[in-house]
Amino acid sequence: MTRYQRITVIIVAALCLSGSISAAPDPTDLLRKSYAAESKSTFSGQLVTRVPGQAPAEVSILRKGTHSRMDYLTGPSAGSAIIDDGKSLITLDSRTKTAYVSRTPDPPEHLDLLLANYRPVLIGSAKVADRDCYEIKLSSKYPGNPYKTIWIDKKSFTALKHDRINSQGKLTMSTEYTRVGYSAQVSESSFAIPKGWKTMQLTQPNNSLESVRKQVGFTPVKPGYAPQGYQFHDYSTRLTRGNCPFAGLRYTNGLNTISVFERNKDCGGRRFGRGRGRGWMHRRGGQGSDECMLYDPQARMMRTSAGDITVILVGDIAQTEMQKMADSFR
Amino acid sequence: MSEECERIAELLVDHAAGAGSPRQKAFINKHVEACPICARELQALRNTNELLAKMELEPAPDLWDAIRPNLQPRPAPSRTSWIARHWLKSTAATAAVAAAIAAWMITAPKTPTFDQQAVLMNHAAMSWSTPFADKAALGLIEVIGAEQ
Repeated sequence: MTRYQRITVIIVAALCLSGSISAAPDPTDLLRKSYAAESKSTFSGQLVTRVPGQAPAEVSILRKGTHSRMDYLTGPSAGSAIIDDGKSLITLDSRTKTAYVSRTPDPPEHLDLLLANYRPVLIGSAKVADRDCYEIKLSSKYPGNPYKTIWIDKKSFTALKHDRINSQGKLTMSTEYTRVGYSAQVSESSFAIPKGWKTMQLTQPNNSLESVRKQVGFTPVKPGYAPQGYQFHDYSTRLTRGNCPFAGLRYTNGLNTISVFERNKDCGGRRFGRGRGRGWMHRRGGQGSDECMLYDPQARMMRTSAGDITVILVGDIAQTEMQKMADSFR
Repeated sequence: MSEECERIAELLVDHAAGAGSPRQKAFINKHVEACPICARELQALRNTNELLAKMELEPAPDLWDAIRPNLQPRPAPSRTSWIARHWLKSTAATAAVAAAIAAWMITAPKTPTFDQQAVLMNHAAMSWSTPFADKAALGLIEVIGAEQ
């Protein structure tokens, strides 16, 4: 083989190698495309969602850009519907003809926080709803956090299947499309509260600290500690029965959320987190924090106090981390 | 509204199970028609009752092991006094009942309080905008609140 032939062979081999490398898509790029597609695509479909302890629910879904509507067809919530208009979460209760409206936090513009805390890995391909999908696992960089595997449509980049594994390594939520059609005509009226229905606001629209302070009657307290990778995101005022609002503070690592709820101990004549039913267990060797595993394995809930404020932490994080967070209020 | 809601809240569990006097039922029904929050809680309780009714409750696997050590063999006739015999019986029965209650408390599903339901539903709402959130599953929590 002459020198020129050898060089030619090397160049061809290098081109083939680079071709094969570029053929494997970058999972980070796929995630970004999928996240962008979430607020742009229009489709209709049907999916099945499963959470532990409940019968699977079949859900009919309509999506148009930032708006979506989910009608629960089977399962314990059959007959109910949820509308997401990009700013609010509207739960339609057909029995009482009432729409419950919660303001939802603004979604992040990019995935930087998620990618700082999770490592996306393309682990293969699979068919979901008869469409070819990339299978991407989002592994947490820090222990004690939940993680996800998502299946992204190779053509539309819509996420067609989600598996969420909790901080204890158990599958806690699973949702999979069984049918999806991208040629659907979706009417704007699908995302409106039906005429004649009552509307019940579950959150106040303004979520500045000053506004929350006025509404709840005290200055919300931030914990002195948050688990690695979690950042404070926003305040909100949440309304509940008895006309006693409470403050909500949201911490997120880009994929998982820790909610901190605070209320005056004496507000409404009832202690926050008290009531009928069992659940709160005094922590062994406790320092005033009560712990309760509700919806195990979906979320851990812990109650503590900061002066005259009762604090409840909710999230799927390791018990030791939640305890540190609760103790940091003292 | 809050005072009446508080009063209603104490009665809703029984009401959802169909218990209560006709007057009490009428009072609650009237309130629930005008109060969507209590109506929603009542519906959640009814759903919980339906779920519990569908559940096939089985005793904990170690229930018998917990009871067996507390059971006493039948005493030989006329060897012990009447008081001793009845003391043994009552002690064994009390221990068995206590063991059964303890086993039930360990194995029975936890029922969250109304406030806990509100907290969890708000947590689902606050998780809603997280990238790649499983909104269908979160919506299930949001819609049915705490049915378990």
